[in-house]
Amino acid sequence: MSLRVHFQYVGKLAEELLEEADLTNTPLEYRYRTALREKETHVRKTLDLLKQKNHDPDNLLNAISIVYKSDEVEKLHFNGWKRLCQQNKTIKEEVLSKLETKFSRMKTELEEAVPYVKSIAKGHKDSRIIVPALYRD
Amino acid sequence: MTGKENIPDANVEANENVDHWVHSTCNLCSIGCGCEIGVKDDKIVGIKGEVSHSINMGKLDPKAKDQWYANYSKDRLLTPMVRNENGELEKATWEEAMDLMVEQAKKTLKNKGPDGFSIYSTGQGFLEDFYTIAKVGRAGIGTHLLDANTRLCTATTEWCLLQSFGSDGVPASFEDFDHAETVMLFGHNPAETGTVLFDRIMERKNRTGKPYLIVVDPRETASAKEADLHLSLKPGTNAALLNGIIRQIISDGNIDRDYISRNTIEFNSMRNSIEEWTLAKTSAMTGIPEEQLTLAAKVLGETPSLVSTTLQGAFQSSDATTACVAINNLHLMRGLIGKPGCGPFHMAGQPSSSGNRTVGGVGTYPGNRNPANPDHLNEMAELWNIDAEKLEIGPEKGIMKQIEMIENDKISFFWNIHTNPLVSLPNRQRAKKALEKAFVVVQDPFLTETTEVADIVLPPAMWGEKEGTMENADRTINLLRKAVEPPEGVKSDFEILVEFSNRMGFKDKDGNPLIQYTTPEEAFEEWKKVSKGRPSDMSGMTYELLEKEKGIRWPATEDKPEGTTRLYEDQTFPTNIDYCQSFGKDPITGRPKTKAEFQQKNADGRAIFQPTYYFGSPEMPQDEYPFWLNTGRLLWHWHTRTKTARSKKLEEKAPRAYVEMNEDDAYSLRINQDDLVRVTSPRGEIQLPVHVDNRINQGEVFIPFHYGNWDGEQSANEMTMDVVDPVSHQPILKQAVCKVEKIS
Ligand code: SF4
Repeated sequence: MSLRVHFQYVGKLAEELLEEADLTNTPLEYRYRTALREKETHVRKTLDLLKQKNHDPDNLLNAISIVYKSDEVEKLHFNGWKRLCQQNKTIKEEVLSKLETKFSRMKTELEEAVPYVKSIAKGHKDSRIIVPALYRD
Repeated sequence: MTGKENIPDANVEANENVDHWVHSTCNLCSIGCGCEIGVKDDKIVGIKGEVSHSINMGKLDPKAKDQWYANYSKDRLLTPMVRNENGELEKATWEEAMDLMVEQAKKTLKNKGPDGFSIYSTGQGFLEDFYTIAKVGRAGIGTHLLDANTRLCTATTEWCLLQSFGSDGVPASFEDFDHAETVMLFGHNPAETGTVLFDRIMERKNRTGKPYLIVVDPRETASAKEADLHLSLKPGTNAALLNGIIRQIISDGNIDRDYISRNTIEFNSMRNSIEEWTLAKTSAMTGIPEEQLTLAAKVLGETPSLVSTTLQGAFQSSDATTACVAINNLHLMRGLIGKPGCGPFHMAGQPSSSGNRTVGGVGTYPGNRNPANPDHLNEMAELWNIDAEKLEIGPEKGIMKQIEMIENDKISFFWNIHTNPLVSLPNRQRAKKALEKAFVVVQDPFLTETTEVADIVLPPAMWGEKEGTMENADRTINLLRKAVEPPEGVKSDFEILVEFSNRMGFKDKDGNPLIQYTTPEEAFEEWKKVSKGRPSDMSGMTYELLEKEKGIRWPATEDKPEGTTRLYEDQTFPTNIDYCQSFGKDPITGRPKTKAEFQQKNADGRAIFQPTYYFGSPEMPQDEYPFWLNTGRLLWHWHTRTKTARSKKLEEKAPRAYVEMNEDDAYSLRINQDDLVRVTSPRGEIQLPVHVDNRINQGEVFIPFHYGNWDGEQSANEMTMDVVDPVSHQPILKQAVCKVEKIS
């Protein structure tokens, strides 16, 4: 496994989620989808940079950092949105749980990618700046 | 002020001859009124306003005058309690309680690591306690899960200031109210919360006709009744209203172009974000007639001086940070900041919530240090003489995130200091269920709704029984001297924290105890060194000076110990990349920006205009739930009434919750005054009597949030929404949907 493999999978899941239409057209859904889109963009950017032989490590680490940080805020809004959907019974449980599975999987992938991020960051930056605490624990 | 200022407001027990008066500060709200505590035979027997205190000039409001009764309440806890095998709380010695606490804390650290441990504190403690929480939490435990009820109260203040100016610190001061031509109270009702401030505004207005008073509030509150212009907007439309007004001011040409180009960045990005907000669109969204919007834009666009306050109507609403940032934008584009009578004044609710933010008991690192800047962390490590790796990076996690983490078994130790989340948190049944899973320590003088889930209850000393400082809403540090000894069997928060640290064996790099100070004053002296060179520099303060000067506003450096009335008089903002407290967050998602992104802005001492996109409430009235639910305070009570309900007089004034409803709505539901109704939201339901009152608009109901014991008191937070603002993570407590049905 490598950072590339984990990020590719995250990118694929993010794309799948973004391809689905808005379900409620509400602020929380808009916010989590915006974060998801930003994450997807920076996953692609990371993968492009990884392909380049002489990539700028700061540039690469910045993109990786945005991926993690987007993932973290996207979960906050997704979970809030999911709760409101459940409380208001606006979306079926099966639909919500399918979405949740994908969101959780992305987090797991990012957690598993941490050792690779650490090795890229070594000598450049404290990897704790790149990867939020709750992905490292 | 009139000649009346020499007669202080007071409440002294009849027939008591006070032995002596002790310098103190009101411990209820963020105005920070100076007072003196009357003592006889080592017992508090009264309180009076401090006439020479520049903030209140002897005034105290009704609840403040009764705040000492709780100290002598018969149900006060005088010994720790521990939950036994039968699930009941039983009395324990301090030794037993602390042993158990330390054993569980060590178990948590071993099994879950530092982030299995959370401290949830308060805005009602002392700066020295908060600083110790920061040190024990960050450098001892190593957790970044430090939050407080300030999340419900002032998290948005902090974040709107970080976004616009690069650092916390309210720019204006209470003095500016005495000079402002216009005052805008935005979602702020001081006539029923911090009444001393409202009296100060109205006394001048009655005498001179100034300031022109604008009040923004969906309800016709006691403050709104006195306004020259009351903008009664629909719930959840704060950001829309400000966008419309700001756009109009720009198109009227009422902006200070020189100021904008010299001292700010990203004006165009802000302007583009509000381009669609014509007055017609704003009127349709907010429900405010166009003529009123035009008038508001004219007054705010032409006034030579302006103080704009915000409080929970802004902070606990949807788009909270956006609305507060829009107010900063308004002041910046008019150049109305850093001058007498000018500045945004984002309030705090509690008496020292600002102090908790300043010293790092909640939020970022002490002294407005940036948790994403390794240099700041290295500096802290050096100051605390510990390894920098011990200090966790990144912004804190708010209480709603922590509840999620407890639900998912990530946090297993929850230390709750001086707050009552099982009345104050939204969707409280969910919060209760979560806290039942964790090991919970509650530090509180009384059994509360939250001690129902506590494994240990520690009884702390109360106001008047301990020494320390508090920071009010305008950066004033006030001293509170100890007036009497605490009753036997209790310890101060400060003593509990230091004892916990020592029992945990927390050490610095040289093997010395992590906490080496032993008194609050020594803690303050250490904190001063930590604050040096930072925006909240207090190195010029001493306890003696604080008492003598009746409070000093930070920054107060060694060269300028008299402090600073208002920030940014030189129009230099703390946005230098190496100095700023935060690299900011994305306004839509709240994603923390990286250093590289902040660097690209090149703010470097200039304030930052932020875009202000309007989103509105995540929940909207619908067929099943046709009403908006709004919650808030009453004049007579503070928070969850742990103190005010113990004053007979205050409790008699407002003994129970009710739902306020417009006459037309009541009529259409065939509901009369005092009828019992059931109010139901998608999260829960409560039953309570109706107050029919046209100060609330049709389609909206209001319920005070102070109530909620588990024995049938009706809690508004059975129904509120458990979602948060993307930037400040403050819960949206003021908008939820509900229905109302008559029972009897
Ligand atoms: S305004 Fe606030 S600080 Fe002043 S007396 Fe009233 S409650 Fe206390």
